[in-house]
Amino acid sequence: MLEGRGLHLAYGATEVLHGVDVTVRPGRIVGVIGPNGSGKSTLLRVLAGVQLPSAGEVRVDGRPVRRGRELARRLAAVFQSESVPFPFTVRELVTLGRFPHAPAGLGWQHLDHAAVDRVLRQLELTELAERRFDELSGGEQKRVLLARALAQEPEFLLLDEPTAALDLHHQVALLEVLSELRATRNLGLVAVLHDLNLVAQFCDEVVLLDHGRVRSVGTPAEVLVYPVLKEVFGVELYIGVNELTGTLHVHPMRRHPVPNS
Amino acid sequence: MGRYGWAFAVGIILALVAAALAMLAGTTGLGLPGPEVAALRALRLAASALVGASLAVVGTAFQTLLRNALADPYILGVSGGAALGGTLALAAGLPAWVLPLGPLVLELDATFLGAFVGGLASILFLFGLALRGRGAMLHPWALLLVGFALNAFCSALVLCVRALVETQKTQEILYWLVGTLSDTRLTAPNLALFGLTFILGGGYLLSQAKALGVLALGDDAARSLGLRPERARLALFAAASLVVALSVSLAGMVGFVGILVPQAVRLSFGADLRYVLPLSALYGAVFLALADTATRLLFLAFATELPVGLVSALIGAPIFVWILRREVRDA
Repeated sequence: MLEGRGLHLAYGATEVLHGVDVTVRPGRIVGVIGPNGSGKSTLLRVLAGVQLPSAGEVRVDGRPVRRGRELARRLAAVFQSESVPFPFTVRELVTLGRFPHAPAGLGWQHLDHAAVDRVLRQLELTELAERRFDELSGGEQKRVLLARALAQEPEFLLLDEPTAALDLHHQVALLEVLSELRATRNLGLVAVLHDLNLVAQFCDEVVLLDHGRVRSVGTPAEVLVYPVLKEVFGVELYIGVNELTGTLHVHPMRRHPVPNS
Repeated sequence: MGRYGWAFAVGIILALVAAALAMLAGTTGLGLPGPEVAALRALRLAASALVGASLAVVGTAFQTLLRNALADPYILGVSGGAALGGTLALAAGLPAWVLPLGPLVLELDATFLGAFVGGLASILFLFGLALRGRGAMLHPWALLLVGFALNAFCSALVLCVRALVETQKTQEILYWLVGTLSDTRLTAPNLALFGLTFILGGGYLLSQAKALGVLALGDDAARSLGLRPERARLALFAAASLVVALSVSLAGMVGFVGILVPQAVRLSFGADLRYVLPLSALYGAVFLALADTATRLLFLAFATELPVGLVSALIGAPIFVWILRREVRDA
């Protein structure tokens, strides 16, 4: 279990997280939602251990996390703005995800190559394997970075806006892959998402952040409710039920309806 | 054979051609040398290959650590310190340091030693500052800025020294600073010391190729892959800086090899540092050996031997622009 307890974080005088509690169980997908600047990405960075909280603690299975390879074998993350300044090929880049598992020295083991091949297949990247990362489209690059994180074979995966820049097919395909991993490998997943309809379809739990505080937490049906979303996002909404999937359907509306012509 | 295999094969063939040319080329044209001249040319070939290889390897490391393809081995100010130390020793006309080691007598040139001490002092200054800042100063942009300031400061002092000494010394200092392989520092002990440092420093960098690759992805990604970037960078920077200090001590500041070669290797073959580092060494050695041969052949045209740093820049700059243009067009 991955837990954040009483997480506080301040950048100078600005406090970004005010005592946030989060729990991620294995085999669950937790969606983190909230307006811009509500602390979603910061929460993810703190949970991933790349940023230390000014107060509070992150624990894995009850033990406080210590940065290092051991943690990286259990927990992987892809952040929002990752750039790769050199012409790595897709395979080279995904292989770097094996770093926490790899022995010292120059070579990678058979196990590493097998893991990379598997992940490339899962994310439909095999055909792009020898292409240069910087020559790929934004969506393809996103999938490659996700592949790198999956190559770590983590128990917990933290993703910041994994579906941004993806077309509809790849948004759903990516979330299907993650759902499958959750089922087959008992992967615990935290994803910062903006698309509340994807949240409603794919997440087991939702954490709604507002000004660095947890506004509400629970199942999509418990969190995606009209008055709360309207207040937090400051926009008029239509919330209904998708008859085909039975999941909630959230639709933002413009302030002044278009007059019938 | 994969693309890296081809890269090594082509590099080795080029190295053999460059070595043959370097042995045959003299200031009067191509021809078989006598034994004494052959020994001198072999020493110079070894020096050019070593300097070229080390600058390209350090260039690769610095570019990766700073995540900037335009970083060169001199960017952190280590060269500034080395240049200042060497200039001071040259200006003062210090004698060589003779070190008897049993039956062997090591004679280390004063400029060489001065530059090495200057380079070491800059490394200590830079990393002392970085460590006191608890790693914050090891952030790439902070290091770049401090390196820039250090280089500017040392350059100003070098100019002061040049203004104060007699004309002949000024000329000597200028030649050394531009990067030259044709002088008294080219002795077997100096080369041996440099070679050893290169093997140790370069070997360490190569042993950390995977970590370097992870650092190239940025600090957040590196941390989530289990690396502590501040700590990892410190040792890598120190090893690379030591090699630069020695390289400046031996040959002054030879430009362009350190930027051009890693860039060309990456763009032509790929970015896996387990291959880019040794390939940079190979192609760096070939490039500078050819440039040094060119300095001798150009003697026929100019009736003087141009410093290798100058030729390196003359050949390197157009190739660099050509590669860059090709890249921009492809992108």
